[in-house]
Amino acid sequence: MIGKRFLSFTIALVIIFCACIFPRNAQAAVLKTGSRGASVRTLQSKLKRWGYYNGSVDGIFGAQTESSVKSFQRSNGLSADGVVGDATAKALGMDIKSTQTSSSSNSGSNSSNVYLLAKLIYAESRGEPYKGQVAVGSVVLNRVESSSFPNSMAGVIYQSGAFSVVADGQINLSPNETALKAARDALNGWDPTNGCLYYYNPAKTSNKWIRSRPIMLTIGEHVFCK
Amino acid sequence: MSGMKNSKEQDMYNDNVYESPVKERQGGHMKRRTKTLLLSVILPSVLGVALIISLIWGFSRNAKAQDYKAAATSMYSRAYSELVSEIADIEVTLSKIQIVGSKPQYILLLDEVWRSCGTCTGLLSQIPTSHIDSEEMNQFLIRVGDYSRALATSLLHGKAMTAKDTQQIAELRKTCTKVGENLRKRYESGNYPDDLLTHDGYFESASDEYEGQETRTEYPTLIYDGPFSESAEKAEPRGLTGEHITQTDAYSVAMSYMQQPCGLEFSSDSDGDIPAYDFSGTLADGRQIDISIAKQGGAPVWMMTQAVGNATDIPDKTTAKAYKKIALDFLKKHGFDDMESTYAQYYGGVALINFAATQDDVILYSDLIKIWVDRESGEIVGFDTRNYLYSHVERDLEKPTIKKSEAKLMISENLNIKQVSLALIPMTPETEVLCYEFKGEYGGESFIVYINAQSGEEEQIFRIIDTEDGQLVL
Repeated sequence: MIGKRFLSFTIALVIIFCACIFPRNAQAAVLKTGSRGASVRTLQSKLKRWGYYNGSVDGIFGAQTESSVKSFQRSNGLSADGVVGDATAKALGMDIKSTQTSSSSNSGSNSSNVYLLAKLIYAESRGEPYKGQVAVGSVVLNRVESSSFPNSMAGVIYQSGAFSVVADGQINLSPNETALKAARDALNGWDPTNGCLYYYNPAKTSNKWIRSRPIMLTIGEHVFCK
Repeated sequence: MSGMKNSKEQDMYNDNVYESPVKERQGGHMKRRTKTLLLSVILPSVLGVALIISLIWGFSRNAKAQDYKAAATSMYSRAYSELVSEIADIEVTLSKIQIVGSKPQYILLLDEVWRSCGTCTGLLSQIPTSHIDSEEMNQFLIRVGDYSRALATSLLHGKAMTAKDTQQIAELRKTCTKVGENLRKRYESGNYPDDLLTHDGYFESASDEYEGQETRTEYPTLIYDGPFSESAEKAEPRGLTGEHITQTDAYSVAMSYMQQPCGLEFSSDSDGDIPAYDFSGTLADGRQIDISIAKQGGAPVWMMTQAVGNATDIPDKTTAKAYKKIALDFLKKHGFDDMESTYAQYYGGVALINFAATQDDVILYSDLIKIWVDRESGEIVGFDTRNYLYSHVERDLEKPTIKKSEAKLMISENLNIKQVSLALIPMTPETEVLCYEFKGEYGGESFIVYINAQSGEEEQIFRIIDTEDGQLVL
């Protein structure tokens, strides 16, 4: 009957509504054999630094990583199951709760620069050819060296209105291996843009000012300007 | 008629006939009553509760948003008012410099201007104004600081203040006063917090708000030798020699660098700092390779492809040497003689080795070439010659005035010296200084000290930091 349908529809609506307004609980995450990514890299470099791990820091959780996690757990009074859950993560000083938050425990300002640049590259140009990703990184570095922009990498990246991914939060995504490598290559001097300070996606920008800049070259979806 | 039921039966029949529909209707009434109850009472109350919950939620979110807005606005306000007062300080310091008599005071005050400018650029980046609006002011502040530092350094090295410098300082002071005035007026007009959040032409369009239409602030041109100076930013590559070549010739040059067949094709013109032709191709295993050849003289600018392997650990000494040899052979093969390896980094399956040109046993640190060696295949997977192309020229090298042993005396006793060589290091974008390079250790850490080979002064001190990637020089 119409009344019944209406009733069940309304109840369903209210349930959906309640689900929306109450914050969702973060997925409980663990790192174990088979896991990959930036968190695994951080795990491996920490364990390596402390002498538990001898393999390469490649972001792939394999047998070697598992046995080093077990050694760490044994030395720290945790149950040695080779899986990095909440307790082990806490002991390591890592945050693995949500893959969307940025892990930040790298030592030294150089690695934090690499990581920040990688986050920007990933947010702005994942899916672009590798050369295009390095190009985004070089634009940032060219700006740091220019007198027209802030003098630090963080200053350039977080400059108001400079990158849309900062405003919409995409910059907090965890970068992948490609983005990290692209950041390193850019920091090591590779500049496929030949000195450009601006870039944009012509299909997505209608900003008149940036479209008036002289175009130097195109890589993938991005056009680079001086 | 026969068979007619008697009236009682008839009545009963009739009653039955009438009763059942009545009974059903009453049953129907019962169901309908529940339905009505549902529709007219329960449903509205559920919806009413949902509405109240939404309103409460809406209000609480709004309150939170107001909190965030207030917090952000107060941060921006703080940055803005600090900027106003710091620029006022710069103006005062510049005015003092105009009447100072002694050199030490000049140097101290110039140093203070440099420090204040650094603070100002930091504050400027905290204010949410579009970089289009703040670009000129940013440039002005950076260059004033850069200029003051360059002036202070040259005074420390014995030069005197010239009339040109005094005039320059006067001009800078005038501009600072003007800039400070604009900012202060804006601050006092009071509307800036909202404009901050809407990014409405924050700095220049302020003139709409109050009378006294100023023309756009004229920023004076600063001519000096520093990393952010106009001359440094517009520098021409000095190491680029030869005639303009055609795309076809550039293609042959590009092909000579390919170590495997890859179907190289012209990709685009790249007319930035070093005008070049860009080519790209695909290697047999699917990796993309890119290379850029300069239009003038056909010098290779850069090349890049992915490494085959993934190694990230630091190799042992023998392997490291082997990588260096591969890179050196590559350089020699392509006409870059007399290169010496300086630092190396290991990451993502590559060994990145830095080479500096040498002349008469002097290391020319400005003329740098970077070579990326694939650790697994031993191929060259990248190179970058831009620093070399910018600065490599035949130098007119003077002989050192002081002897190595004399220079050694200038080093702190703490340093345990391991190696000494001669090096030409860049002091400013336009000047280089011949130094003795002392590499040593202290307290388990490595340092490099540069002693001026003519004056014996300590020019630079670097510390070598061992990271998981290799060595960093700081």
